Amino acid sequence: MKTMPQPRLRRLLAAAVALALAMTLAAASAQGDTRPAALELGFGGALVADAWNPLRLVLRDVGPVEFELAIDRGTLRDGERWSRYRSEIRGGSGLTVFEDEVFVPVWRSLSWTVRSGGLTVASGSVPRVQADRRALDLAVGEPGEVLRAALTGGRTVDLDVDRLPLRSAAFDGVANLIVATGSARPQALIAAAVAGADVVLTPTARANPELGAMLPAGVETRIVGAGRLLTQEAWLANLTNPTRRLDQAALVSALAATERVSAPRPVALLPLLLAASGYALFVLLVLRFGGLPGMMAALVLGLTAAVAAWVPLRPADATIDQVRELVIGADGVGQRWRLHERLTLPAQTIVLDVAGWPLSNIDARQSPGQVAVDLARWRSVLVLERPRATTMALVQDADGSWRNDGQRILDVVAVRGGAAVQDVAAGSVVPVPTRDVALGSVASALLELVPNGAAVASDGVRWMVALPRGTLAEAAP
Amino acid sequence: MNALLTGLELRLRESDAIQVATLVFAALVVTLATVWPTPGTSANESWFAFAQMRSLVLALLALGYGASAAAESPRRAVATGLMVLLLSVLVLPLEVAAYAASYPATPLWWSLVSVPVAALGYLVLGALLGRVVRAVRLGAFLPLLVPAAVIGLLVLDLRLGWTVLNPLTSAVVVSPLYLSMMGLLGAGGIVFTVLRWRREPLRVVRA
Repeated sequence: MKTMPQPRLRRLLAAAVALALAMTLAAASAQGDTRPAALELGFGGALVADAWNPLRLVLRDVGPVEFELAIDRGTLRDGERWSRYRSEIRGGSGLTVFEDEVFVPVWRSLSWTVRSGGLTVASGSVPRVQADRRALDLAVGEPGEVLRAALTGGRTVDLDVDRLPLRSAAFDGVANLIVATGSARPQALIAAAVAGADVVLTPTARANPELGAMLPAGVETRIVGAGRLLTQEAWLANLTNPTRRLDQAALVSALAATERVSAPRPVALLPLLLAASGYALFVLLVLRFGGLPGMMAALVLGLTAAVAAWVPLRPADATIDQVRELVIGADGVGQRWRLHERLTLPAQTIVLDVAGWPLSNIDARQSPGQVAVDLARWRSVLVLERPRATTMALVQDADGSWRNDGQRILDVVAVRGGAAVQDVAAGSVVPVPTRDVALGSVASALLELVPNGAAVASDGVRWMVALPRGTLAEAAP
Repeated sequence: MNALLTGLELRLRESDAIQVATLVFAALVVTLATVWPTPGTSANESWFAFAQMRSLVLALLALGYGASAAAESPRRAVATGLMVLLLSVLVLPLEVAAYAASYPATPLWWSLVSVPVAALGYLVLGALLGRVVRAVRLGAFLPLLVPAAVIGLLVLDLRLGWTVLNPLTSAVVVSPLYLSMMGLLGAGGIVFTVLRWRREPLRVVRA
């Protein structure tokens, strides 16, 4: 039998392997990203810890899937504390995009999986070293060297303009948004400003009439919500004398710490002891001396005593709910932060129909519209609802006076560095105070955290922090 | 029915009945006072400790009286059983007070149903214990064997990982198995007693 020479065989094999490799690479580059599921957490993969971050899941030709984002925010002392965000996504042929905002704490472990029909379609994790609390600077378009050099936060992300979210919650962890393109959507920029970001419009952006109208000629800075819209020049000038960002998290924490839900107070022991002893004594006496009628009397008394004990001792409800709201903003628009607190007397699973994050140190299960936690007896959970843009009743007129622009009476209006007044009717200007007003714990706590000239008000339903018109004053230390 | 009530009335007039009832009430009132939350305590957990104490006391009482009733005439044994049942019902207002203030997840019907059924079940268990002890001529050890039986039931349940016989965990957790077992024991005891009652000539129980 004739055999092939060894060197020739090796050359043929090498050529075959090279051909196969080349074909594989060519196919991969021709098709682009062919992964069935791809997740983008944060902006361009950059997450801000202890803030709401955008989440974008892209599915390709995958049927119904279950997406799970599992975050362990535990500590060495407390052990694991899991938060599992789950969402059923219909999927199907073609491209399916699922978008939401999730709160991301400083994590010990953060992983995600996409499952379909019991199989894991895709999964991934984010290393703990990427848990960074520093806010992001976003740049859309080409901002140029000057602006880019001015972004000294250390966490700059270049973003496609069509990837800018439209909901203010997504911009919770954004400090600056540099807009160097005319194709940005005004809603996205307003959402970013309402969330507290500095939205910088470059001349390129302002060349677009729609974006230019957001900062009319002669207006360099405009307070919008908890943030502001600025021209490039105003922003650069501001860098030499930077104003501190309003610390919204501190304001929300102050609200969360005050006027908490309290459990029912127990009945004093002495009356209970006297009643129980009296009942026992009476029963023993009628049993001993009452004969058959005494027995019957004891049974009737037992029934009566049970009802009599039930009525005063039983708390009215198994759960006690409280919702508190804080709107931070200016010029009639602001970022709404809503806190849901629920205290349960029996141990049970608490389900809140809100997109939120439990501030309590407890395991939680979340979905796009629900938070569920298992609570032990007589425990409460505090859930922070995803922030959203809303209108605000308290506005400042051009002359600096404050006005109640809402439909409800403002119970109290207090200005930092000024005075406080009560009962401001709807549609009326806040009057000059004529007497001292004692502020409650919430108003006092909020006033300590707002800049000079800012106002704190309540209409009985929500608290408002209204920033002064024009420029952001220096936040109080 | 008249015979039952008369028997119960006479049984209650005996000195041990009122002494034991006083002891039970005293133990439970003291328990309530001890476990009731003090000012500044955020949670009221009194029912859990109280229910277990109540269950334990009534189980000991029922087992003890059941064991001693094994040597008594059927009519006196029935009167004793009714006395234990009456006592178990009369302590319920104290339990309701603790339950109302504690707001446990366990439903109230569990206490209302399980307390008399368990008393009946432990009476029958006690009667069985009494018969066995007398059969092996160890009647003198009965005061020791009754608490030992409670401990044995607790250990058995814990080892097997269920709640079927012991009075401690069954007091605070709904257990259909426990209710079924106690109900079966009670029903068996009632049938057995009725049969014996019919065979025995009528006579008034005397102290």
